[in-house]
This record gives sequence, structure tokens and C-alpha cells, in this order.
Amino acid sequence: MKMVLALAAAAVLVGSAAHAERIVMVTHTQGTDPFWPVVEKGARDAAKALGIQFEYNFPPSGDMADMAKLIEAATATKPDGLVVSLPDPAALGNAIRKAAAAGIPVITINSGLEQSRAVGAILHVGQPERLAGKAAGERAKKEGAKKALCLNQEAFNTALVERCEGYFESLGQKLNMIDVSNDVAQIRTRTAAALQADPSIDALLATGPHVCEAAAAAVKAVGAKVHLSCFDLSQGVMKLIKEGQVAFTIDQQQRLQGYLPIVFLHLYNTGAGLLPGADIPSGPGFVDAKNADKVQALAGVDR
Amino acid sequence: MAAQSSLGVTRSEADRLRPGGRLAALARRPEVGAFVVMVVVIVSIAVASNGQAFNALGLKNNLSIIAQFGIIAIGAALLMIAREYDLSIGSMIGFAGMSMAMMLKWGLPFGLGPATPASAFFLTLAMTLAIGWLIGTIVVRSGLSSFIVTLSFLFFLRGLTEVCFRAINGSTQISGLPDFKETSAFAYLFGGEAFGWFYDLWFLSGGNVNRAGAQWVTGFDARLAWWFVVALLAWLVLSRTQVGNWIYATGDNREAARANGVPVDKVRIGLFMVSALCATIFAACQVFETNTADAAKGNLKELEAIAIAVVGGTLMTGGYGSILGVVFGAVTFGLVANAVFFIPAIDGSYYRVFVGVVLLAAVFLNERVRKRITGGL
Repeated sequence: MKMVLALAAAAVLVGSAAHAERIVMVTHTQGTDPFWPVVEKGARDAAKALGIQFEYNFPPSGDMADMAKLIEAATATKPDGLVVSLPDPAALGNAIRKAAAAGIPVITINSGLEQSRAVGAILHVGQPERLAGKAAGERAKKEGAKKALCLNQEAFNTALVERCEGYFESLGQKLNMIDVSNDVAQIRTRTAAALQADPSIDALLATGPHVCEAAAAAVKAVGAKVHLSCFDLSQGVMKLIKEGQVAFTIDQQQRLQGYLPIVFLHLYNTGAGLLPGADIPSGPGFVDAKNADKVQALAGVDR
Repeated sequence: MAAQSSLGVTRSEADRLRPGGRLAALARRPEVGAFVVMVVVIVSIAVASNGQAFNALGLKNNLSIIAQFGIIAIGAALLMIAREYDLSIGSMIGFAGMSMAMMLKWGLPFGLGPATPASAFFLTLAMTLAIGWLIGTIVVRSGLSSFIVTLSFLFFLRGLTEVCFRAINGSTQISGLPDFKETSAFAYLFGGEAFGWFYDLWFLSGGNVNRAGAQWVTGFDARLAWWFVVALLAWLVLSRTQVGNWIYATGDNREAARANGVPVDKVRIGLFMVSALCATIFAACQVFETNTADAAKGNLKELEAIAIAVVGGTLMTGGYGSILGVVFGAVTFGLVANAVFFIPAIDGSYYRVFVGVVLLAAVFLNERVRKRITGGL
């Protein structure tokens, strides 16, 4: 019956523009993270360009069980496609498998690359975090980093820890990471404290843009010569790159994580299962003094 | 030493009011437990960090964290003395920060033109005070526990902050605003430096030298001055004015206070507004220092403020507490929150464990001291 309905829907879709294609996106954010609005805007822009009806939802509690419920609720509305982030495959797997079993094509984004197929998704678009960390580490090593410290604002967030681990893997060092918290004043003072406690540190990796800005202030205050590299973008980080205080920042290019799944789902639905042959790494992209000007105009909105 | 009845002193009936003497009288003060804990923490951190925690930059940075904790803890402590809680402090910080940064970036609301740091601050303050008044009025009128009412404002304000950011700004963070503290004296008042003479003197006397041999630190963060101002005003009001007595009476026995003509409801509403004021000052200091704001600003700060008030000897049941104790509590908590980062031997991720242990230990010690003094109050 479901098959018939889906076929009927597809037939109507092909036959007339009256039934708009509808895609639902569910991601894991508590709403305060500046990262996700960029993804959302990417998806909305793609949907608008293709004439697709788009809905977005997230669990404000940050609870994975709540997110699974949202995915189930979205499945119940029988959309033409589902885009979900996959921070916890164990908690979300069943809900996603149910959607896939109901004949809804699912694309996973952001984290969860390794488990994407296992939960029934057709494709994954995201940045492999360890790979991104490694890329940052390789470049830092080339630029003279010897003894490093990783500044992590959420030490229990595995994606951020993987960034640090990849970085240290490239540098050939044991992981040296501190939890700097999300409070901008504490990030600054804790970074300064760590730099003072160990003057041999000559490289810092900040795993978020607000951490990056506060760390730059700390480096200045301590008066240390430190190679500072960061993850993700903000207007402030762009300014610091142009001033030479930050060597580079890794851009996860998350707009692609919003934009591309909509396009891929549309092609999949209208092109008899048209699909790329491999997962799409949206990053890492580098932003440094060379391209900072151009990226700055879009930072926080489209980049 | 205690002036006991040595032979040469003639005794009178009035002596019975002063059993013991100066030291004993000092030991009876409510902040003595907090003071002891603070000294222990300062000494152990100074030793463990090889003095790093209190060199020129360490001192500035530690006092910066202590001051920002101290500002909101005073608002929370005043409320606790009056037997009320404010769980909306953290969200209020987020809301105030968002409001100021948004006005500075996008201009004043209702097409009133571009904002200056002063107009952004005062317009935001008007809003936060109004929200504080609203919270207080709901608590007083409804008779609901302030725990529940402010808990709902914790969610409401955080949600409102996020919605405004997304609707108006398109992103939940604002970063890279012009450096207002360079161009505006008002912004410098919050985000600039204070007590520069302290570091000038330190440099002149041979210390405070950076790796290049020049003067290293030029001044404390301005929030230190704000902390002093807020603490001094709160101390004056609490210990030297009628309003102070009203606050204690409101927390101690509300019905008796009301029967004696204390405007209990006005006191409580006023204190919720003071708490909102403290949160706004906290936010202004951060916004004008870093020229950024994000929707997560101030997250969990309400609990830290309450923790500091308790470490400072304020009773959860109201009617008991002192501003000096809360000042000591802020020093203790601020140091502990940063301390492990000065000690390379300890992995930084242990700091929450450390905070938890010290918090519990401080409260235990505090309780013992207080019970000994007050005879088991």
C-alpha cells in the first residue's frame, strides 16, 4: 500500500507542479550554537531554488531520545526526503531505520559518517573530524609548531575531541587538551594560565570560533609567540587572520551540509535513484590570509 | 589577645555583653568560615602553581573571573537572604548580552537610528529591570515559589534570546563589532581597564615585566571596579540602612516582618530587579571587552552564583548571610574554577571534579564554623 502511495505521489510529482516535493531536516542543536543556522539557511536556499517545501526541526533539550521522537514524527508526515544529523547512532538508529523502511530516502549530515549506512541512510555529507584535525596538524607542523595545546570548549563532545586527537596525531605528540568552558572570560584566563604554566608551548588549536578569539587575546596578554589555528568561522576570527594573529582556521563549510542533501534528495527522487558513488566530505577547507577577505563577507551566514 | 579579667581591671555589669574580646568577637562573624576557606585555597594554589597564579597576569586574570562571579553572586545572595532564588540569572546575562550586541550591530529598535554603547546599555537595562520587576511581581502576587517562577524565566529568556538572534541576526552569534572601548568612554567603563596605577607601581618597583623587558600588564579588567562598587553598595545597604534590616526580616520570618510594617513584597520585587541589574553589568563587561555576544552566554551562571553565595556563608533558608562572606566566596570559587589550569601536573579536564569537591568541603567547613558560633542555628 505504501509502495502504491509512494508511486502515486511520484506520478503526481512528475505530472504536475501542484504537489510540491517536501523535505524535512532534523538536527541536534540546542539552538544556541551559531553553526546550525548556516546549515539551515543552506537547506532553505536550496529548497527555494528547487521549489521544494522545506521544514526544519531540532530538540531544544539536546536529548537524543527527544531527537529520535522528532524523526519519528517527521516520518509520520510522509515527506519525500529526510535529512538528519547523526551524533548518536545508537539512540537515533531505530527511528532512522523506520523512516528508511517506510520508503523515505534519508541523507545523514555532519557527524556520524561511519554509521550512516548502518542506520539505513543513502548518503552522508559531513566533515570527518579526525581528518580535519590531521589537516590542521600537518599544516601547523609545516609552519613550525613543536609543542602544542588543544583548547576545547566542550571536552565531552566527541567530535571536538577528535579534532584535537587528529591534530596531535599529525604533530606526533600525546594529546594535550584543556577544557576552557564556553564563557569568553574564562576561555581567556584559562588559556593564559596554561601558557604561563608551560612556557614551552608554541602552538594552540582552538576548536571553536569564540575560543579562537579569546585565545588570541590570551596569547597577546601573555606575550608569547604562539602558532594559533582554529576551527570554524566568525567575523572576529576573520579579523584576527587578517591581522596575522591567527594562522588559519578550518572551515567545515557546513552550508554544503544543508544545501547538498536537498539537491541530492531532489535528484534521487526525480532521477530514478540518481546518487553520487561516495560520501561527500564538506570539509576541511582552509581560511587564511589569502582568502579571508572574501570569506569574511559571508562568515556566520553562508560560511 | 582576649582582654580577660586580669587583676588590675575593674569589672562592671556591662562586661557581660562582651564576653571574650576582639578575637572572639571576630570569630563570631558570619563570614569567618568563608574567610578560612578562602585563605586555605589561596595558599594552596599559590604553592601548587609556583606563584604563577599570582604573578602580574595571573592576578589580573584570576581577579577578572572572581569579579564576574562576584557581581552576580551578590545579587543572588541578597535574594537568598530574603529567602528567594533567582534561577534566571544565566539566561538574563544571555538576554542582556544579545540585546546590547544586537543594538550595536543593527541599530536601536523602532528605527531610532544607530546605537551608542550608552544608549544600548541603558535601553537594555530598562528591559532587564522590567523583566526583574515582572518576575518579582509574579512571585509576590501568585504566591508561587520563586524557584519555579525563575526556572520558567530561565527557559523563556534563553529561548527569547535565541529566537531574536535567529530572526534578526540570522546567526546565533555576533562577533567582530568595532572595538567600542577604544572610541567610547562609556564602553571603556565596562570593557576597559581599571586601577592601572597598581600595575604601574608594580612595574616601577621592579616587577610586572614581560618577556621583552617592558611593562607587562597595564591594569585590571574594569569588572573588578564594578565588583567593588556593587559589593560596597550592597554592604552599605545591608548593614547600615533600614532596607538592610527589611531584607533580613523578610527572609527570617516573613509574616512577623509584614506584621511589623516591613514592606515585604516591595523588598522582594526590588531584589529581583537588583539581580537583573547584576546580570546586566556582567553582560555589559563581557560584551564591551570582547565585542562579541552569543546565545549561550551566561549558561549555568545562575547555579554558580548560588554556589558562591553558599560558599560565602549565606543560608539556603534565608535570613542569614553577609556581603563580605560572599566576596570571600567569590574569591574561593573563582580561584578554584581557574586553578587547575595553572598546575601543569593536573589534567585540565579535572577542574569540574575539583570545583565539586571544594564546593562541598567549603560548605561543610562553613556549617561547622557557623554552628559553633551561633549555637546551632
